[in-house]
Amino acid sequence: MSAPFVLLTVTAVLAMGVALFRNRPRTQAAISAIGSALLAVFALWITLDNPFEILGFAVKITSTWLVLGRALILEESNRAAVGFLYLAGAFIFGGAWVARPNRNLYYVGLLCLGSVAASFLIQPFLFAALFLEFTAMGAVLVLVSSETPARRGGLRLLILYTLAMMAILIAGWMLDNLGVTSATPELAQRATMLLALGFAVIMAVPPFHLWLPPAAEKSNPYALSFVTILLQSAGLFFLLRFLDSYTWLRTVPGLFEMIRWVGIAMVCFGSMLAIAQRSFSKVMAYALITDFGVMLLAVGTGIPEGYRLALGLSGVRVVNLAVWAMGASKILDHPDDSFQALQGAAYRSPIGAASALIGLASMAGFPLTAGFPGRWALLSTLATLDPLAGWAIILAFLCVCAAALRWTNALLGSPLDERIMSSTLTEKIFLIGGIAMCILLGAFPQLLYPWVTEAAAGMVQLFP
Amino acid sequence: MTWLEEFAIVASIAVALTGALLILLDNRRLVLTTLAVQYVFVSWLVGLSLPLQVTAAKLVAGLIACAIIAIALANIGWAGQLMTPEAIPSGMIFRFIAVCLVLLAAIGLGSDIWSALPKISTFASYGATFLIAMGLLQLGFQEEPVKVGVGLLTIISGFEIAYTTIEPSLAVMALLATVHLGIAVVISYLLLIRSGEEPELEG
Repeated sequence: MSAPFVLLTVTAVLAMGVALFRNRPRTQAAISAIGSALLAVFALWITLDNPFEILGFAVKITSTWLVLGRALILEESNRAAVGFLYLAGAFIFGGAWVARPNRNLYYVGLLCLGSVAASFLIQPFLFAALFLEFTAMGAVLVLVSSETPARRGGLRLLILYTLAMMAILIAGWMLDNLGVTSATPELAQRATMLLALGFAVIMAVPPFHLWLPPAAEKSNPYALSFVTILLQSAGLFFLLRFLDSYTWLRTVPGLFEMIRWVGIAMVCFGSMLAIAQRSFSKVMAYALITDFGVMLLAVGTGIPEGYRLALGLSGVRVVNLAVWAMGASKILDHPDDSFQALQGAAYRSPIGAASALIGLASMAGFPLTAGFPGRWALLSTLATLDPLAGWAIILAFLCVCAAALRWTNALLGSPLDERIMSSTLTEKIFLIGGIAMCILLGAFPQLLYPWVTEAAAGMVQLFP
Repeated sequence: MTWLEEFAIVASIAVALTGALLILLDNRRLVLTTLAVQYVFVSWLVGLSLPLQVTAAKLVAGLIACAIIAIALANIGWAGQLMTPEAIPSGMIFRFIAVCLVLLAAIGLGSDIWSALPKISTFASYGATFLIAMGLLQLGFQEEPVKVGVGLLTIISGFEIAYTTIEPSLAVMALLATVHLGIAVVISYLLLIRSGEEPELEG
């Protein structure tokens, strides 16, 4: 029996099992979360390729699963990443029922998790692009449902990821077979352009962010958070694996400078539009683009500390988005999430409003929230390396915080009606727990950062 | 030289024509029939670099993809939810002129864009270029799920013609075939969701 086989088969079985409980969201959430957590434990700590005993039986789990001549391998270089992925999944599934997402989130979500895990395991890793395409397909099913039937965002996501898949597959083939190095500048330029196109789509670099605002506006906030976390985490690991595997890529003149410029453009674009939005969900969509931009700035430093910060920011995003989405789902009780419709929402659901606002503030990097330490550390790193990028981070902080304040004002405004949206005790515990975690990680970042950055420890070229 | 290679020009021209028809036709029955015919010629071009059995498997996957979309359309009614985007001009004459221009551009580009691929035949490279160009044009014109799905399947077919010459491994072939089926399933899901029916996937 091989570890990748166990991981992917159990994920599929869990997905099928969850589908049986379609009218019991709590059971679905519990099975998905516990199952994902157990799979994370398996990925992180199982003994590979050496026999061991379980209940008196000798068991040997191999690291390699051969499928049609290609190998899926769980090894030291990727097991932490797979573990991180399943733990993030467990965290998101655990709180999902509070947000009442569509039923697809659980079983299609588990399949998406398996697909991203397969993208980490597949060798050669270039074929990960195909699994990202499958994840995008699943993402469409998570975003669009009978409760939220608008399909524009989902269709755009599918189109963009299909184009990205093709660009990355061709670029990958060029890198592997045409002897592309810094000594072959013309080929290197072609391959880099194709890779840049592929990763621009995956990282939602404008104008390839086109799927995000319509998806944010029309989908369940929790479904959007799940999809974004999954796709972006997979994309970041994929990008880092490229940088790790092709040494010449890191020596392409101006590459990291270009990544930083793209990051600056994303930060400016996202923050300006976040402040101008009149839809609460779209504010988060543009805050996310800003956050992806900040992550690219971290990658664009081209130094191990920068890569670690990018991973840390990716981990923090899981908490930020989950907290925001749980709160937003409580206060958005109808499709209209405009300024007027949400006026006084803090009186209808105080904890929900607090959760949504703290999630947004943390996404902005507000002090004493989970998003702050990573941005502060990045700002310190960029101060000497690229002051302009540092100013962009400050601009992002100011704009997204201003947007958060503007919406605080709306949520605290005079309510238009006397409705009260009651929450059960368990819902309150989850919402308050999320808020507490956001603040706790802001005060004690060492609880999360060192652990998340370990996820890429196997990339020995990037983290010598 | 086998007859498949000898008459490959037929397949190359046929994929250009079917790609163009997919943009020009509005009748969904005809669109799906044309897509199925397109898969036959795509398989022909793929067969220039792969064994016949593998090519047959790709053809079957393509036809199943057509069948999946057809079943969804049969459920919601073949004419249901046909939407034309308001912002994009989409009259027949406009589309015809656009198709002609894009085909001319594709002929101009021809096999040059695949010059890095060592084993691809001239006709296969033209076929791949035609399909990708037509697919992209289709995506530019429409936001309606069936048309978008057909556009995506056309682009991927074009990509596969070129990619199979450089990466003929069975695993990749199987994964790419699954991409066709996956896109068909997603498009069917979107059609059924919109029509208010509870699709199978939702239980």
